[in-house]
Amino acid sequence: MRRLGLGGWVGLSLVLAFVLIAIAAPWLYPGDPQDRVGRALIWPFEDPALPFGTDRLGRDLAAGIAHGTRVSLLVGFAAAAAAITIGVVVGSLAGYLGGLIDDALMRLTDTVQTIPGFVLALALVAVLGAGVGTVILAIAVSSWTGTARIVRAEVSSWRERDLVLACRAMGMGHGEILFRQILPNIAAPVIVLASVVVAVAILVESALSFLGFGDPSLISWGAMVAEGRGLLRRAWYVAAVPGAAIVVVVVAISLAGDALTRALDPRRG
Amino acid sequence: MKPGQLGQVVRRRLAHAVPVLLVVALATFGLLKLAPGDAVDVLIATGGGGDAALAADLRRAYGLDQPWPAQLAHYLWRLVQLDLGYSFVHNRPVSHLIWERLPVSLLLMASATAFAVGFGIVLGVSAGQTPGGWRDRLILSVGLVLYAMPSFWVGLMLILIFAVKLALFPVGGFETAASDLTGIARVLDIAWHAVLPTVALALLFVSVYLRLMRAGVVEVASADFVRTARAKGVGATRILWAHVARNALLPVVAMVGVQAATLLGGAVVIESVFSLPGLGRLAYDSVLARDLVVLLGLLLTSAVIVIAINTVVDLVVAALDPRVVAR
Repeated sequence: MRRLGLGGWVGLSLVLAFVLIAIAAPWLYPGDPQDRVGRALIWPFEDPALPFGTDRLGRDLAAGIAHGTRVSLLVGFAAAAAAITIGVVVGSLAGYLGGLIDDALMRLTDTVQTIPGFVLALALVAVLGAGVGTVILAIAVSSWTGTARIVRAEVSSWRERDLVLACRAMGMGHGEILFRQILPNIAAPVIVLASVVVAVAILVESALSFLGFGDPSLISWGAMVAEGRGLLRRAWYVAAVPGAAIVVVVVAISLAGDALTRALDPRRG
Repeated sequence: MKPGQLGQVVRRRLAHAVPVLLVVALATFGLLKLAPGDAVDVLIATGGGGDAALAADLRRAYGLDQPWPAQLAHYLWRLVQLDLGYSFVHNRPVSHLIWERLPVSLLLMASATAFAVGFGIVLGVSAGQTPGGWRDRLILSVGLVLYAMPSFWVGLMLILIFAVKLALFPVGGFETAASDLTGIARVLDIAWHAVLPTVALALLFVSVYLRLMRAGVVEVASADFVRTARAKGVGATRILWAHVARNALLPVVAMVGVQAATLLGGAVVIESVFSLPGLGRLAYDSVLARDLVVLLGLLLTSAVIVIAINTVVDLVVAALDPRVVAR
């Protein structure tokens, strides 16, 4: 575990801290974070009880950040889990079965990579309505392609190795070979990729909610930045603080991902 | 690049594009059918109401009373004729709406790519010269933060610093409104407006390209031909740029194609931040107005743009690298 390095420790601790904040938000800041707690536009550090200050309607920005963590992490992890699942299924089917199915699935992957995920997300919002489910679905359907490619490459390289030949000689079924023998061996690159997908998902969610297409009933960092957009001249911190939260969480996830790369792959040091 | 090669690259890309676009068209048709209500409902809603008999007449007129395979065939046939449908919200054909706004988005994407590739190369070479050194670590850390910053937030912070506080650049817009500028003055005015959006869109990609360039420089630096060049007595600067950087550049150029879809998605957000009248603004307005026909037209157009960018990237790679004979 020494291989994690300073960056890795900082990243993992920050990710853990954000997870704890997300879990504890209802206790840290009970009640609705959209409620008025004081005068409008109190600057950060002006009032020790309101470390990030208040917005145009006197809402506590710190409470918003804490509750917003829930949406960011929920969407980030749920969308990444869905995307990785789709990617692993598509990639392993293509890599293991080969032939026509491989060609068809890879053509599908090419096609999805040709469609800008963000434009697709906007179309899905128009069809299904804004909501946290739409956001997760939109991110999941457009971010599985990288995983599918890597899994396909790894699985097809494992298919011809002695391990798999031995399993087949023992009379093991294809499902068992794929899921119990091959997939555990390629977990490392998939886990590393998962951290990238989580980071991208959090960024995409924030952009969607910035435009006002997030979940209207939930507070989220992107929507908070949008609130501050009209206040740049008078109170720039209203837009700056939630944006900084996004930067910190994404940096933390990237650092943690880099550390996992080193810890899981002894070949790269 | 040999003359015949250009045609070969383009032909291969086009052959690849047809099935891709067909699948995208099937997907957009599926979304159209999935949406509650159809074009006639939208028409009647925007036109201020109508009775069931009128709706039935209109459905027959538009072929919406036919079974869905017939509708699909009709839809595909219209697409082949470059007819993306009609927006009842704007009262204009979708293709006209898109065509008008296309140049703004393409300009933004091109300038952001140029900025990102340029800075990515310089920073990547600078970091890769001494892997593990302080400059390398500093540049990689900067890259990490650039990657983590949401572009819309970067845009707002740039507006705050350079437009609101320092008043060096305009807050938004494509050009100064009602200024009657022509010729070179207008070009300069547009360029002046484009600076902040370009930077806001490009920073994420700077981090992508600088990491690739750095990795390439580190890898190529230990290649035999570099050692040979050094042994021949070639100067360090010439080795760095003519030998190492030139070879490390190829994956960066190839990555521009891979990132094309992400770039277009980013442009959508940035256009909204800087009130630029491009495809992104059209997409934003269409979501608000639930103008699905326009959004699906945009989706198809985006796929075409991404394919076009990839074709250009293929040609550039083939021109840069004589080893790549059109695969």
